[in-house]
Amino acid sequence: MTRKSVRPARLLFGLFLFLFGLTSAPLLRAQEAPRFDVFGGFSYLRFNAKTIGYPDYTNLYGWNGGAFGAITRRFGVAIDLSGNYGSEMSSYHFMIGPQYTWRRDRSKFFVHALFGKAQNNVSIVQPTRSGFESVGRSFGGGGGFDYDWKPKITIRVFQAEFFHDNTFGTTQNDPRVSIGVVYHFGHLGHRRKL
Amino acid sequence: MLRKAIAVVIPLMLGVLTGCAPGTHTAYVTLPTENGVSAYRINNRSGALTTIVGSPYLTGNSPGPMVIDPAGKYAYIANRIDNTISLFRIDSLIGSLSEVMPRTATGLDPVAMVMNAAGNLLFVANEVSSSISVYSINSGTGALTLVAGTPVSLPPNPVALAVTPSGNFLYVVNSNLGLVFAYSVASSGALQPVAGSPFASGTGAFALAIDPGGKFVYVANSSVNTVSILSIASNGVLTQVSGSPFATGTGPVSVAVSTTGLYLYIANESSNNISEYSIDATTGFATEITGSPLSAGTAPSLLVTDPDGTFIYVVSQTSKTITPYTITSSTGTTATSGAGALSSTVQSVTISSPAGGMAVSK
Repeated sequence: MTRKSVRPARLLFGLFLFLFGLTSAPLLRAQEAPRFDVFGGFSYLRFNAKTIGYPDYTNLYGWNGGAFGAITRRFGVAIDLSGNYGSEMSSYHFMIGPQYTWRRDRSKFFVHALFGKAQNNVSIVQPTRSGFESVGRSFGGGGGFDYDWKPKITIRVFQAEFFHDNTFGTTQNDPRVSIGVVYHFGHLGHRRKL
Repeated sequence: MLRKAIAVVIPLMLGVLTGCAPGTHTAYVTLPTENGVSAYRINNRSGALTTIVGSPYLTGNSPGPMVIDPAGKYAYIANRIDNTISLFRIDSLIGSLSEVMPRTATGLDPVAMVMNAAGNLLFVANEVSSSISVYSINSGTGALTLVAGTPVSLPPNPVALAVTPSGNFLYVVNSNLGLVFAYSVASSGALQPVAGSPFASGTGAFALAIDPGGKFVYVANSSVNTVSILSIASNGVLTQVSGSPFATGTGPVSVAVSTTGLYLYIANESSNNISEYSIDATTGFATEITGSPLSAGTAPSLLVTDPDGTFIYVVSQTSKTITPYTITSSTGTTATSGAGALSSTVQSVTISSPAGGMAVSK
């Protein structure tokens, strides 16, 4: 991916921060939930490499990070970033979208729709280059389950998405699953006792 | 709650992670006007082609014929204007090509290439310099070394060649003379003319194929719209079989025998169709199958069989397509009624310019 092609993702992120700042402030006292979540963990992506000439799907492993900003107790905006790597291939996703959260005791379920960019790379050594890369639109959806461990730390037991990428002149439908840890900042309303 | 969730999620993730890649073939088509070679993954079930990422890959000037070694590690492409052969390493996972320099010099206009079944000798027909070059192949690196005593001179216009499955005999078609030149091949690659060579074929002899049993040579005579059938004696001598030559469509330019040896297919470039025949295993004589000829785009000029004998790929030059055809299966070792007919159930692949050659990996 060229640096130029990353810019739309950055612009989306900036827009998100602006809108979030405008809309979240009046709601802070009315709800009882973390204001921000930051997530980091391991992810697995099953890349549909058959669409670009591989004999089968390719298993890619890597990281998944993201952030969530609550607008109300149940609605907010999620940013999702991931990088997955395998033999001669890597895949990155830069996504943003609305998220709905449902809480009960120490458990939290969420679903979200994500939109953004996918950057897929294939390392094929050629006389004039070391590989091929393609950046294209991506959208998908999924959800997950978190379980509170400490007042500010939650275990993300699982997160699963299904991405639809447009790269290399074709389309790929790729499932991704992640696990990891979530850290909370701030609160909407009163802090909940654990 | 947490334990229950983990108990559900971990098996799910492990289930997703499983899955293995079935063995599939790759196909390559050279594009002379683009100095490139397109690569495709073949779907084992349907024969459909999927473009491999990064394709087309750069070649030399005006790439034409192409062959792949039996191990599927290396590909060789003759560059007809450069008068060289490019060696490509085939990526074992993706099937992409990466050229290994330097290129190997050939005679003028290397128009046809063939490799023996052992994968240790490469034969090249040089059309303008009217010669046959033989190269030994380094099994480790794929590098070519010209065999001493070659190139061997021929009368002008050798256009096609084929080697028997045993590797003992090489047959070269001369278009101008309508003759087939026969050579015995030493283990070193040295060529020795077979007694009585050359053998008559037909005017405008343009392409040839040998059956997997090494018993018959089929030669397409493009100017007179026939195919000659010549039986191969144990000493390499060729003899026309009874009933040979037989009529084909207009402009037969490519011949392919199925991997079972039971069926013969001929691309008729001017009548835009494929003639289909069953082969008598004893006499070698070909009998047209019901439904033949089969329409095949505009100007079909290249026929290539896949190693499993399931599909035939037809390159049509004017419509610039590669169309996979499924060979109706046959049981036993003899041609059966209704079997051998071609049918196409998947979409053709469009190529950006006319093809110079095609090869399918084993």
